[in-house]
Amino acid sequence: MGPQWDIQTLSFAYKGQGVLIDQLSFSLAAGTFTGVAGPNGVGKTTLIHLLSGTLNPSEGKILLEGQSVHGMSPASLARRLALVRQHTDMSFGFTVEETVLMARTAHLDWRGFESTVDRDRVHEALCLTETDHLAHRSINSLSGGECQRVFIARALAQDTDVLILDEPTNHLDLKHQIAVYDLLKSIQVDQGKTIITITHDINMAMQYCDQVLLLSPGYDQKSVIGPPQDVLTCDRIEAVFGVRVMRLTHNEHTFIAPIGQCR
Amino acid sequence: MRWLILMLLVVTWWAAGPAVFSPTQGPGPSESHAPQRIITLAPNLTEIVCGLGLTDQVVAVTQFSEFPEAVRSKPKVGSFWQLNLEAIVGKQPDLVLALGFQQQRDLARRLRRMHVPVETFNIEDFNDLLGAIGAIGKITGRPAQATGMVESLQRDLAEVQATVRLAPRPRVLWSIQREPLRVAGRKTFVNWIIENAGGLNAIGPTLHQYPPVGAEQVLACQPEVIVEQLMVQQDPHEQLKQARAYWQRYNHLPAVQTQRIVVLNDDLVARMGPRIVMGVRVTAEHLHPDLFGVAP
Amino acid sequence: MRPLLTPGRLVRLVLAAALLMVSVMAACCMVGTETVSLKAVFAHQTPGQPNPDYEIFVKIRLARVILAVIVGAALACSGAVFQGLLRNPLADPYILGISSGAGLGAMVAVMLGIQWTLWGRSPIAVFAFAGAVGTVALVWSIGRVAGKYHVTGLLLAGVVVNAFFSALIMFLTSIANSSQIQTTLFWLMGNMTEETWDVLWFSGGLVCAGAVGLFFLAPKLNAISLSDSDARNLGIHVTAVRVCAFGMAAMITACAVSLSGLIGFVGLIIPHAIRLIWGPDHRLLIPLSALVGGTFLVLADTVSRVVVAPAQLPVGVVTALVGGPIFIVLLIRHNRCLGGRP
Repeated sequence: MGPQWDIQTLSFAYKGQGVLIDQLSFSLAAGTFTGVAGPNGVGKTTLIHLLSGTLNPSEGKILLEGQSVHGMSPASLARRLALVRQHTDMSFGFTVEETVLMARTAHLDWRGFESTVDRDRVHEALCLTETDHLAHRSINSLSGGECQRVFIARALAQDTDVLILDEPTNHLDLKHQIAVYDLLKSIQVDQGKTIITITHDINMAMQYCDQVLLLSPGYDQKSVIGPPQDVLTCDRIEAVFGVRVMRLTHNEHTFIAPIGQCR
Repeated sequence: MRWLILMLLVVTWWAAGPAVFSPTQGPGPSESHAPQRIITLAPNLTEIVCGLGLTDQVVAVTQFSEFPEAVRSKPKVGSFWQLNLEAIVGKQPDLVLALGFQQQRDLARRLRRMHVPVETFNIEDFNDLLGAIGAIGKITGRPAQATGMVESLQRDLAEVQATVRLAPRPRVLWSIQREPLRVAGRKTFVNWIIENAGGLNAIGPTLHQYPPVGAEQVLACQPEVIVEQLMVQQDPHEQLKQARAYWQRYNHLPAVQTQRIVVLNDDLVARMGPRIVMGVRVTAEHLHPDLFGVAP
Repeated sequence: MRPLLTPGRLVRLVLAAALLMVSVMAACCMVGTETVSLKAVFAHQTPGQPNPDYEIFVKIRLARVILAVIVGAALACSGAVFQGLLRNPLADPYILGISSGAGLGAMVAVMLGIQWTLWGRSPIAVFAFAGAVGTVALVWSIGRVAGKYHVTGLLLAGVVVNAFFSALIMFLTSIANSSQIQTTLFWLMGNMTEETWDVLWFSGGLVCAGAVGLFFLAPKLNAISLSDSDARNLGIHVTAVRVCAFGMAAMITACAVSLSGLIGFVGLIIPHAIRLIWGPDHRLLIPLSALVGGTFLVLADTVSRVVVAPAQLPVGVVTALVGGPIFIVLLIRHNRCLGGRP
């Protein structure tokens, strides 16, 4: 059996703009935890929109279990991968439970109502993300951290093999950042889901990810993918981010500490 | 699958609906004999019907039908624009007279479906009026009275026309609204009144029927007489005072300098009914006081 | 706290609303300027003998009450859908230019003085319907050109087309004669008239089909009311759903407008009131809006029939005067935010 994700010479450019993603090729095995890192504007969010089928590539292929992502119908795609965005605006006062239930839209029968299975899935997802006590609150009344957990719960309830997240720890304090990453790790380990997440925190990537995809701008430096230890070297971080760093090791864990900007 | 069910539902609905609830057939149109229960849906129609001597046969009128005095106490079936269909049907009329504009025409269509006899009349100018009088006379069984009314209207009009025929024609500015100022243009029956009363509309041909005009046009047209229609619920003397004060701002106009500012009863000049000729006469008296022997 | 929506709960609430609607309809049939005896209405019909009680009760009041139900249901239902689709709590059925398009159509029909009728409908109704449908198509194609930001593009196109057509209406008004102006003005204010059973069956069927179709789209509308891309990730073919929903909502709105002119407020506040009390789930919102909207318009129309009797008020005046305060009371009592974050 081949890898779950197979990305072949993927290129993308927004209309009327230069090439953003140039000839990117990599593959991901099922059940892995991948971090996508890189400086601002390098195309991280664009990449996950391409992976989730929201955008169509200009060139190249994105194969999920051998099938092209943008050839799939939205419904069959939604049964394979779930996406958590940075923020979702809620125009009308849906409750947390109703919001998470929407994950089951692709699974509904012709009457358009959830079965007991759907409800159980939602309940499990709420418990797993420790948001079950919020179930009847309006989604608009939640804090940033609670909201993020609710949308992770919704992605879980979608019952897919793949979970894609766009900076899930954005705006969260340290405790909630750790909580989110612990949650994702346990989902990966316990349920065997593939997790792809954008992260700005290279230390988090170092601790939690099985592999890191470091996107880099320009032609002199190629994007690389591999275990965090190998990818996040001092030289490469300096070249990609323009920041001088030190790698420290403590109890077999590696940490990266910035020192200052490159001159 | 669900769309199929939906389609089937819709199709059965439309197919079965009218069959299940077929409209019951009421009585056919009644034979033509003189109507005894008449409803008039506009003040000018009321005036015509009463003028034919049918006041007692009128069972209901609309609001603002106040002439002749006898109809003030008649039941009302709504206003000119907002008619109450059930009140009309409830009066069990054997003739309803309506005007030919869209709302009354729609209403007439609905009444006919309920087998209520309705006649509609388009009364836009004097000839329409004479035609309508003749037609109403015929269907109400009073053709002789109708002919008499038509003849007397024509005779009275001819008399006014003959009186003013040779007199110089003063330029008349007929204001229908002060703020913003709007006046009667050439394609109106007000224009017909002015010309038959021996005047000349000071405003030339315009795109609008009742064009809004600016100060420049008012000054350019140099009216010798300014006419205003009496506003609803206004005291004529009060309105005349206000009008004089208002027009003072154009104190170079001949009409203002000679104080020939007139307020006319709108019942006479704004309603296409049998009293329109009296409206022409009153206007003529104001335009040519010397010819009619009245004090200016 | 509100319980989750289950088919059982939906059926219970819809049945209760339907029962309320039918009793209001029955009660309103008994109200009017004329006194009607029920005994006379259902008495044996003698051919050739007019029965004014029957004529008034069945052909005037019942026809009018049913018309009010159809129009109210259509407006409230499409209002709920437009608010969700455009993710804008200020949206109403007229937001995409339907009002001005229909108004322009009606004005043109009046100005041309057309006399013919089409399937028993007056030229105003036919032209208003054509104007409404044409305008939605126009706004839709302008919005498509605007491209990526579809919702904003549509809203802007709606605003611009509305302004342009309103200007055309004003121009036509300025050159029309006074009876033409009055006719159009009263039409624009919204009026209930008594239609034939054929018209009622046809438009009732159209509105019912539209509402049922929209109900089946409801779970997808829930997701679309969050965001397009979110809905897509939840497995919804957003463009297809949107085209269907817009098409159906515009169709039933155009149908309502051609029946009764422009009746404001029903399409805006009824969906909001339902959301305040029973939550924003479209599966409940769409059927309840339709039923409550119908009930509300029957009540408003009855008020407009009797309050200044023997004349009548334009029903649009009553919906705004009565609906506004009721809505404010709801807003204060439920104290929940309608849109955006608190």
